[in-house]
Amino acid sequence: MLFLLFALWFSPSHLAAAWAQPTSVRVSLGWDGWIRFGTWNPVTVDVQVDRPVRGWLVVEVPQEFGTQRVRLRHRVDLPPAGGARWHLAVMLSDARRPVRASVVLEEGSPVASAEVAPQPERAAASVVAYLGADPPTPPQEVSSGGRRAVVRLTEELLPDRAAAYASLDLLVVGELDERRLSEAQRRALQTWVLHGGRVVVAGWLLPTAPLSGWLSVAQEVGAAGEAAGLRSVTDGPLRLLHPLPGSQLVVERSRTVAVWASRGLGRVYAWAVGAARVPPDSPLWYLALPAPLPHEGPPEVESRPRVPLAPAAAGLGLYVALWLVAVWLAGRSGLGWLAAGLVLAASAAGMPVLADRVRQSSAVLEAVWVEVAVEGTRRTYGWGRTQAPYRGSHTYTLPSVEAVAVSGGFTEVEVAWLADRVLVRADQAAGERLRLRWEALADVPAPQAEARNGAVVVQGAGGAEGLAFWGSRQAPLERSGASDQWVASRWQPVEPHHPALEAFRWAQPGAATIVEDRPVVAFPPGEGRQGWLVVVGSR
Amino acid sequence: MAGGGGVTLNASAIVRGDLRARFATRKGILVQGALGACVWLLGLLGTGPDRAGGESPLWVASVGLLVVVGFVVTAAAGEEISFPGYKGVQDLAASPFSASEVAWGKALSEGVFATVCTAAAWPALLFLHALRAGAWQESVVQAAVVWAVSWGFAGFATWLTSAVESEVSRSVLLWGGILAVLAGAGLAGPWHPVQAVRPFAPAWARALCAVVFLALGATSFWGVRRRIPRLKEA
Repeated sequence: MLFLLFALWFSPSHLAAAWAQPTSVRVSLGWDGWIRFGTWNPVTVDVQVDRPVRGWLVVEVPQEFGTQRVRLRHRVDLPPAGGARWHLAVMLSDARRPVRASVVLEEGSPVASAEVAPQPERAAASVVAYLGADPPTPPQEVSSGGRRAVVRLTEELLPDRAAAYASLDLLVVGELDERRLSEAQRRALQTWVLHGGRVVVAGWLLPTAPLSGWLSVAQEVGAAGEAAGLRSVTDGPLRLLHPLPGSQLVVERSRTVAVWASRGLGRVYAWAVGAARVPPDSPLWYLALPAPLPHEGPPEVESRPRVPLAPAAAGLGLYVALWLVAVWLAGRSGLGWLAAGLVLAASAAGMPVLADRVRQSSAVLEAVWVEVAVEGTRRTYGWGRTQAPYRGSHTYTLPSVEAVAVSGGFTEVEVAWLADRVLVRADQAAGERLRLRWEALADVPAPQAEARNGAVVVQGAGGAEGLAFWGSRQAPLERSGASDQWVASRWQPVEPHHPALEAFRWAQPGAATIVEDRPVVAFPPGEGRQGWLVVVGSR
Repeated sequence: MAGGGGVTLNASAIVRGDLRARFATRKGILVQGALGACVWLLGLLGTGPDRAGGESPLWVASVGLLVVVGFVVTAAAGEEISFPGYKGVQDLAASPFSASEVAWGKALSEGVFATVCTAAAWPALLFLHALRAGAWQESVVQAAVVWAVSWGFAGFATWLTSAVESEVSRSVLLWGGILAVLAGAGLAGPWHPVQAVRPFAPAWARALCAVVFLALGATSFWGVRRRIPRLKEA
């Protein structure tokens, strides 16, 4: 008997289970705990399982002093002793209540969970992150008020969703080991920069690596001698930077202290010294740090929920007709009462189904989309508004998006990422307004626009009517001789409050400056959609 | 009311006769059609969106269904709608049926008719509650209030047919009385039918409303039984 017990204990399956990591969930908030409230922040969740788990990762985010809960659900399918990491972009607004991450099985039973509380003292107005050993020393105070946090990251902690970078003002790269980056992380970083993000390269990057090469704006060709008495950098050796085509020099007292170049709507800087040698009052910081701009979405439109009457009329009409037939039969034969009972039973089963259909048809999200295409990368910014016609839960469907934020009136919201769409289920009281905001990377080719001899030439627009804006002028797109090529050359004074420019401003607060600087082509939305596709052209 | 096997058998004969008149005739089907049309309309009216302050078209639809079902059941009992072949209390008083048999028969037949009419309206209530993520039990309780009020009014109407000879006086008394009861919604408190049939009304108010109208019905049918011997003498 004892031998049998020993044999069982040392059986391979038992040993494997004993040696496997116990199931655990680890969650970390923001940039090493630093958070910017009111915008997307990265949330990293690590899950280790000791048995096969098929279910959901649920991240529960409290809002409005704990009176609202937003649950973000992502599919989990892990083998025994498996593990995975999720980089999420989460809108955080409650500084006191913990964010909870749990793994639950398909049927809803919990496997493991963990929670992390945001620290009110780690709320920042601006975040500067750095990769490498040398911490940068940007100004501690933000010009618009509040303090700036400086956070050390490792490659593994970089988000793989561009939306999560919204809370980051600047990434200072001292060292970058691209082997530690996933393709999704590289793409997210590039998308962020193309759509307005800022990166400082303050070290040496391997130009043959894809991301490093893309971030290279200057070639380091040796030492440029000693810097002494400069405002930009502290005294010491300077690297000699040779600008690559399209890059511009930043010179102080005949010394090149930095080189910068545009990458889409963003900028990449190469500094001639390590980040630690740029003092807080250096002009290089004022060049590199973005100016704070207020973020505005589409204006609130007063609307009342509309209930589609057709399904209700048809369903109730069918019931009344069947009831009348049953009652007519009952007047002729006692068996007719059996028919009446059957009609009643069928209606008891059918009415909730009918009600569910009417509810879903009445829960209509009024969505506004702005797609911004920069250098072929198309990013979608969406806003949705709805008013609950009845109390209870309402479901809204979004296409695949990378981040969703929910605000307005509700008690609980579940956002579930499915393979091909995102479902948002909100528990609301009647008349409560729900506001959704989302961001996504669109995987469809974007038209290309470029300035040529005072005109704007657009390729790949596919025949849509469009309008080009540049400086204080606007011009309609017209077909050119070449196939799928459109030209805007008949310039007129710009309408400053043109809907396309307004929509562009919702997605890019610095839209006015962008339009001054380079051509922007706006295409009206397709059938049944509200919004604009805005293609940022090259000069 | 004296009971017994004979009473039950003869009372069921009255019930069968009344139901035949109310369902097997063209007019009966027409009345059911009109009731169905009202249920359909009120069901549609109730699908309107709720207001943020808690005002809901469900309330209007619930009261509407109470009024419609109450009207049909009361009008049928008070012979305001004359069904071909229908035997009222006056006719039955002249028949060999005893006073108890007539009173029981009428009470049962009005109960069954009120049940059928309430059952016709209940799916609309169920639909409107399901639309608002409400429980089905709530619609059943509302339907119970509708049934009790309809049966109570039907009892009152039946008693009037036995007590008042003149059709005009009877109509004035019946509809005037019902109108007075319904108009007193603001004075009577939560147990008033218009208040008790509202969605999510307090349970005690609904119970009290049902008890009051069941008592009205029982008293009325007891009055019918007391009245029949005098009718027989006349």
